[in-house]
Amino acid sequence: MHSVKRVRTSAEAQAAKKRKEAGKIVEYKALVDKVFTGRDAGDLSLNALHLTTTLLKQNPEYYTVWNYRREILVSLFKSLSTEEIISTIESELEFLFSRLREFPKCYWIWNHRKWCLTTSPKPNYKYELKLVTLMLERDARNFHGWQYRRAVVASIEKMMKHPGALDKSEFAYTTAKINNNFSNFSAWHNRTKLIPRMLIDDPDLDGRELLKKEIHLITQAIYTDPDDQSVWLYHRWLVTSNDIVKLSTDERVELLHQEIKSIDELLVVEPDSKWCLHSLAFYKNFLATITNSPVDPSVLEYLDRLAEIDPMRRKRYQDWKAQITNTAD
Amino acid sequence: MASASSSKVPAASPNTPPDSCDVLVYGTGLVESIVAAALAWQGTNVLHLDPNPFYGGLWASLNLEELKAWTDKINSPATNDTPFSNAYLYISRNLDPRKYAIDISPHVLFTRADLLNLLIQSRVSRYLEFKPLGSFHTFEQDSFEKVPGTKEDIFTSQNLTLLTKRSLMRFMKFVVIWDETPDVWLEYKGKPISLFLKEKFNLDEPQIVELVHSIALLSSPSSPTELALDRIKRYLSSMQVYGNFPAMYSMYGSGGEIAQGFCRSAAVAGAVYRLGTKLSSFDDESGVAVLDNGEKIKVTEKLITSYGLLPSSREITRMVAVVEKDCKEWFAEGESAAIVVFPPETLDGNKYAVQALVLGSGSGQVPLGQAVWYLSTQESGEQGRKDLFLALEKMEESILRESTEDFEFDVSEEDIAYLPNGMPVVSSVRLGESLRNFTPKESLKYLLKLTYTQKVTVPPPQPGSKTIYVPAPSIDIVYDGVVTRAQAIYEGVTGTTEDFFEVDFEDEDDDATATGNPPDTSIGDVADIDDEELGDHPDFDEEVAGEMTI
Amino acid sequence: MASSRNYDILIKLLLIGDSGVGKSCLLLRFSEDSFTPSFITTIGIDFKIRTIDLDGKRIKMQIWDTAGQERFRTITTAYYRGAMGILLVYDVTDEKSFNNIRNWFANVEQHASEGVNKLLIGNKCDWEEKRAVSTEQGKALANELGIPFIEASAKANINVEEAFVSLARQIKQRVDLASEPQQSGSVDIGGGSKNSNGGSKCC
Repeated sequence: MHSVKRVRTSAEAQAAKKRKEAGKIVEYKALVDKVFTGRDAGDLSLNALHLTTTLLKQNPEYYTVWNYRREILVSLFKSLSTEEIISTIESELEFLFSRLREFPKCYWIWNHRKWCLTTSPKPNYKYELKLVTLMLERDARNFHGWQYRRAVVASIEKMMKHPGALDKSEFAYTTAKINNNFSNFSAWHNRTKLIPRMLIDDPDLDGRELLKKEIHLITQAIYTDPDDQSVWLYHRWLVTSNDIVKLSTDERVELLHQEIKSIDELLVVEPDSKWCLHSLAFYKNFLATITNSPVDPSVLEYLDRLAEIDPMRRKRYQDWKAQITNTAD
Repeated sequence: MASASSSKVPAASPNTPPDSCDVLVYGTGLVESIVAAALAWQGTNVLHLDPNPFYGGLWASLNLEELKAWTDKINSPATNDTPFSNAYLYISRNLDPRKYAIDISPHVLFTRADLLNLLIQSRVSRYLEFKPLGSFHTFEQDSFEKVPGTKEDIFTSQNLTLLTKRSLMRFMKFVVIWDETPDVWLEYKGKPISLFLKEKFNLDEPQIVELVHSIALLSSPSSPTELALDRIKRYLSSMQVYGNFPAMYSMYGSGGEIAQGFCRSAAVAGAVYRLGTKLSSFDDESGVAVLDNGEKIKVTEKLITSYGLLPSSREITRMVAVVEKDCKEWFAEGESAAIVVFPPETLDGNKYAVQALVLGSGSGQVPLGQAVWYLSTQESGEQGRKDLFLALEKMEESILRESTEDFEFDVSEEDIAYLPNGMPVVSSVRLGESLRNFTPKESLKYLLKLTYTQKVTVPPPQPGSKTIYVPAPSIDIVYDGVVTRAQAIYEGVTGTTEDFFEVDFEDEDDDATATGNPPDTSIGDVADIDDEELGDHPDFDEEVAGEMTI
Repeated sequence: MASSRNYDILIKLLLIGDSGVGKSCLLLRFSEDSFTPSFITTIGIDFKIRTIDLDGKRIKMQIWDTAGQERFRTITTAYYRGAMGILLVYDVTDEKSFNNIRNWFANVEQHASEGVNKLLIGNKCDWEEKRAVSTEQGKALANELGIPFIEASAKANINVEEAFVSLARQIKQRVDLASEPQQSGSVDIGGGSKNSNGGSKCC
């Protein structure tokens, strides 16, 4: 019985890897040449399509190649039956899905996918919704995914001839995503689009109740992570927007006071929170504007502290301060 | 450095036992199996023996027949080389013994743990199957509360005030980099963690209890600050490594299965294995080991043994119960395990926390429809057993309550709370109150009950000796210390830890894509998305698509 | 939807039998088409991978070797887990190894999952001068155990391919093609889970 220690010569392995890579680069350049030579010559053949496939697999960001690919497809479609077009586009979508798995954040892939859906005589939007749900499960913050989702939802609603049909369920979807991780600009943003429409479409929905619940929700988020910008943006929308409920001035003032108090309490435990200070300054300023009264002097203190905490934007805070002191005169 | 091969086995007869080796490892527990593999890969000639007919030594997972034999053995006055004693065992009739794998020393693995890194580095992870464990509960006010371990848990919690949420988050943010900010905690070094949490982060008692006992999995709130912070950090940073859970367990048994994995690794590297082989004596001077069948083996370097009469510092108490309930109410979705902690003073004045690990049939340790409960406490003697039996009672009450289908209580308007998205739910706080008056109609059927005592052993230092002792399995539910102990023993043999598992395994990257990026198999397939997951969408007919052309 | 894996089914196979019957050689012959004549007990072979096409499906075969633990009958119970097929190997020139097949079979029955496909292989069939177990004896034992039988030679490359492929075919028929052999709910540790490939080569 004997034993031996295995040692791979890693130097050899590394050199081999380098040689392999160098070869790949030469290959790639040759492929690019070939593709563009074909395009310049007006080559719209199946072969040209295959070349773009190979190239796009390696570099999906090459958007002019996607353009060329669409030109080829449009040309090929001229000689195909409807059934064949549908089937070709289905293969195209399969190809795109495999690309998305590797490059989920490449705009051009999503874009081409959208083109496929609008070009197909028989687009399957339910499948697309599932696909984008899948992609967002993988990365809930992929804003390409959210944009695409909105486009798919809009297309479905158009098909149903019922704009806003999916609002409530999409709202529930953003809620689920937020509960999973509320640090998500796109999810909150989606909410700002859905809520006004929901309120218009459904007269039974009480805007004030909804606003109350949303404030409660966003407050939990603010207290959980006051450093997250996305939640403060949503908070600001809730507090200042006229698209949810047309509050009277008195109601608006009451809301502002309530929220200022809430943020003040948070500031006590988080005295250096940039967003607390920023929001307090903003809301107190806003309050002054809508009540036509002078700006609370604490705002100037906030701006001073902000200039210290956030020196990169010092000029902006100073400008803001100047603006307030000038109008006070 | 150990000498290279000195084997004298004639190539023509593979079944002749070797009569010499560099290192003799006696016992196939986890620590020494890691050492055996590390030494074998480094080139040492290792002979690995165990007196039992099974692998795992003091970490073994046993079927019911092996378990009976084991309890007899540890109760026998003739046995003096194991840290276990005082076993009381009840096994129901008509159980198929081979369908059970009972851990005598259960452990769970955090995803950020040195043992996991070692498993990956050594590739022993390929011999094992791990399952997630994300459900940690604290017993408070007569019910089991799930521990908030992530930002999301805290955000969505109905039971915490805004300011508590903030304090907890502040602490969590600090603790994940606590070792980099000593100015915050240095003055509390060596002092109780409870003091630190209260004074520095303004945390209240319920939060402190959860952090110390269920997240740090410590027994006492006076545990030193730096130890607790390290463990809390480990829990929190272990989340999201593989998914929404901080810990895992190996299927079919914990330490015993992992030990088997390392033994196989050692065998692949050339170590020789013999089970059911008892070591009668070992002469430290000559390095000659004598087996109980009379064979003599010359050991040139060291004897590493986990059996022996070792001095002990204290005793802890353990309990195992197999119940005829699947206990799925305690598990998170897709999981088959949970941890329940009973903090001090929650069980009629218990001084130490009681920890319980619940494994369902998905663990491979028990058949479908059953679950195994492992309880332990640092309390010893009769008090220890009393604490464990009380905890057992509470768990029994809880599972009967939660798994009974027909509740007879009324839900009123006050019992309803609203989720942030407007959906009504029955408030869990109110539910707790209603349930306190609930008496279960059925009783829980126990298929197995076992209690025993385990000593915490302290291996004596043996300078200049050929013998290295391996301490008994830790009383901790985590594998802390296993890798460091193995490395220390390895160093005791070879003089260094630099080449500990430094092995160049060859790689065949045939699953890579053309880009060299590994395919993202985590995305799954569109077909995996159920219609229900899309949300409550109205039925739309895809046929209505005719107008969608350019 | 096409997955980015390059196989359809993954199956785990085990080799079992006395030391020296040629398990590793059969494995190396099948996975790498190589053969080493000198007797060096199995060192460094963990498992080998080979992917074959079978009736239009890509079958990735992960074939495990005993790592020498059969020597004193100390094969870990973990070895058997998840195995879908087992090759029981004896040496036609070594009667003892043939007689031990019954013991190995009992072991397999005890530790492997129910319904596991098995195949009895009499190896070294090219060494007629030293033959100690006749083909009829082998067939008879296989019948008694209720499993298929084949004689092979890793050295002369006789029936090696046939043995592994036929076992794979048996498994394919028995197992639901759509299901993933990996246990549901398991954590993919990464850096080499059960689906991984490659292993260290023999010295």
